[in-house]
Formats: sequence, C-alpha cells, structure tokens
Amino acid sequence: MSKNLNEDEIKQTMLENTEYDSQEKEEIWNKIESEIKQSEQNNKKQAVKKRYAILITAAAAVFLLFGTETGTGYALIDKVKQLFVPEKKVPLSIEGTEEETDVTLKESADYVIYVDEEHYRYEEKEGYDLIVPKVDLPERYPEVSMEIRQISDKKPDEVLKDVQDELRKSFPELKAPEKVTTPIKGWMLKGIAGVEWDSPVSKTYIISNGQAGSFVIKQTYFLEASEGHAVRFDNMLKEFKLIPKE
Amino acid sequence: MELNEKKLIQDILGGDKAAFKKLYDIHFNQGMRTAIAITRDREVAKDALQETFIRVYRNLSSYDESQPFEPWFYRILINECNRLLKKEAKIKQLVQAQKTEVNSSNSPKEEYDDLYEAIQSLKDMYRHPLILKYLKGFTERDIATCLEINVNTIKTRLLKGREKLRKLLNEKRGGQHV
Repeated sequence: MSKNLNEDEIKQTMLENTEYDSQEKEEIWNKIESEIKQSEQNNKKQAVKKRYAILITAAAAVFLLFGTETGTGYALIDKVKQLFVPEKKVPLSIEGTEEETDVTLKESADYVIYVDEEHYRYEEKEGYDLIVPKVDLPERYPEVSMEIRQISDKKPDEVLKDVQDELRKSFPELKAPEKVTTPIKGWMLKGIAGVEWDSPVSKTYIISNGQAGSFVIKQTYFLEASEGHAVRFDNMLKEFKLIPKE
Repeated sequence: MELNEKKLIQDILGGDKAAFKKLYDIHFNQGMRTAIAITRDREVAKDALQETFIRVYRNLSSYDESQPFEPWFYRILINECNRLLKKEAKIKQLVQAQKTEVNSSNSPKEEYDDLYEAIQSLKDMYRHPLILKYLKGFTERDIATCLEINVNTIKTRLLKGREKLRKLLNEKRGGQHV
C-alpha cells in the first residue's frame, strides 16, 4: 500500500468511528459547570477555616525574619517552629475526588514539613529523612517513598548534573530537567521506566537550602500510583518550609 | 502556544467563566473523539472528557504557559481515560461475577471496519501514539510530551504500530495485498 494512502485511510477510519451525538457536547458542559459551581461553594467554606492557619504562617514568617536579622539564637528559632500548628487539615484532590487530609508537623534541624500520617510514616535515617507508606505494601508493588536529603555544600545547579547521571542508570528515558514553582520552587527531574501499571517512576526535586547548599527530594513510586501516592507526596511538599540558619 | 489561547488561559485564571467555555468549545470535538478511540466506550469517554475539563479548570494555575497547551491537556485526558477504564473493569468484574445468566445480545456491539478494528486490537503502547497522530494530528514531539516518552521511542512505536496494522489487515482481508 502506498504510504500516503495508508495514512489517510487510518485517519479516515478514526474519524468515521469516533462520531458522537452533538447533544452530548451541551450535556457534558452542563455537568462540568455544575461540578465546578459545587466545588467553588465548598471551597468558600474551607477558605474561612484556612484563614486562621494563614495568619499563623504569616506570624511565623515575621518571626523568622526578625530572628535571623538579630541573631537571637536557636531559642528564637524553636519559638518560630512552635508557631507552626502541630496538626491541620489540607485539601487534596485524589483521582478527581476532593478530600481533606489531616497532616502533622515534623521538624528537622533545617526544615519543617507536614506529613499525612493517616497514610505515611516519617523516618529519620542516617543523613536523610524518609516518608514511606504507613502500612508496608505487598511484595508485588514496587517501592513507594519520598526521601529528603540535604547536600550542604552544593547549590542546586551543581547537584542537578549528579542527580541526572544517577537517575539515567535506572531511567534511560529521563526527561530534561524542568524548572517548577509547584509544589516547590526548584528543578524537577522525572523518569518512567516502562508503560506497565507497575513501571517504576522517579520524580526528584532539587531546591536551594537557603544557603550554599541544596535539598534533594526524591519521590519513588509506580505508574499506577501517579494519581495517588504522587499527588499525596506533592501535597506534603507544598507544606515544606526551610528554617533559616542564624 | 498561540497568542489567542494564551490570552484565553490568562482570562480563565483571572476567573472568566466565558473564557473557559471558549476553551471547552475549541477542544471538545477532538477531545471527545480521542477519548472515544482511547476508551473504546462512549460512556466512559464522556466521563473522562468531563473529568479532564474539571481538572484543567482546577489545575490551570500549575500549567506552565511556556509549554504548548494541548500535550498537557491530552496527558490529563489519557490519564483520565486509563483511570476510568480501570474503574470500569473492576465494576464489570463484580457485575459479571453476580450475573448467572448473561445474554450477550442485550449489549449492543458496534460495527467497525477492518482497519479500525485492527487499530483497536493493538496494544496501548502502539494504539495511543497512532490515535494521537492520526486522529488528533499531533507531531511526534507532541506525542512524546503528552505520553511522557522519549521522541525516538514514539517514532519506533508509530513505525511498529503501522507494520502491525499492515499484517493484521493482510490476515483479515484474506492475505490480499493492502
């Protein structure tokens, strides 16, 4: 068969077999509109609850600035940490469903993060911290974790190359690094090894530690968990805050 | 991204609902067709497209405007199609397990031509790139961005997908040259 004819034939058959009823367009739009309206009404209610949390965070930021400028010591930083509420609820969209997750404050010497302790546990390891599913996954599932590691003597741009080289060993199709602003501001590297439900995925964020170093935050999960664990990990990262040094 | 689309997205981010409706009107036709082809099920396709637009609306602030919009949109659409298909498969399993008598003639089967049937019989790794290329009209680079796969891999999969189609059609059409 001629190449062109074949390609036209493929296109034609796809168009012919994917016809739809024009009324469906209006029907789907009405559902979308109603769903958005409903969720916006819910958001307004949540916004009132969040206002209190925002006030506390703003107060903490002022305290941090004051503390670092005057150098009043670790005691002040400890006071700042205390300003982060120990527990709170954060909104989360998992597989299209909106939910509120209870998160708990975890503090290291250099950062704070709110961990979703309903689903995960936070472990302090030698040289890094690890967030893993609260209940160990059955053996047939690949690893799921989020590792937070500080590299105190290399800036993000310097660390990027090392992490890229390391990841390429397991993820030959590693995507080019992307600069992201959400869930956290920095570099993002993503690799997927395959197209099966259990194909390993690695998503690594590299951010500044506010000094001359970096944090490397490595999420490990599998393809089917892209809308589950991956979303929960990113949601926790939105609450990642650095504690400035004196 | 075209200037008009960029403006549209900025308007939506600014809370303009009419701009979101415009975006819907622009992308509905090809989005719907793609969802039908990917899911092979019109009802699932409708749900997937609906969820996709809702996700786009909610997550538009995280979309990087320096990148083309469509691969981002279709990545969400394909993820939604896959997610709903899995859900559907679980429900079907449950229903099937509960049914004692199943009359297959109760569920209408759509009639497709040989070529479309052959396309739909391919594995997703070949089927999805072919749908995005020939139905959506994406370039290989757009498909690579959308499916988060290396562009050379996409080229190979398109090539192999077409080879497999040719073989399948040869078999279906009784060995005559196609």
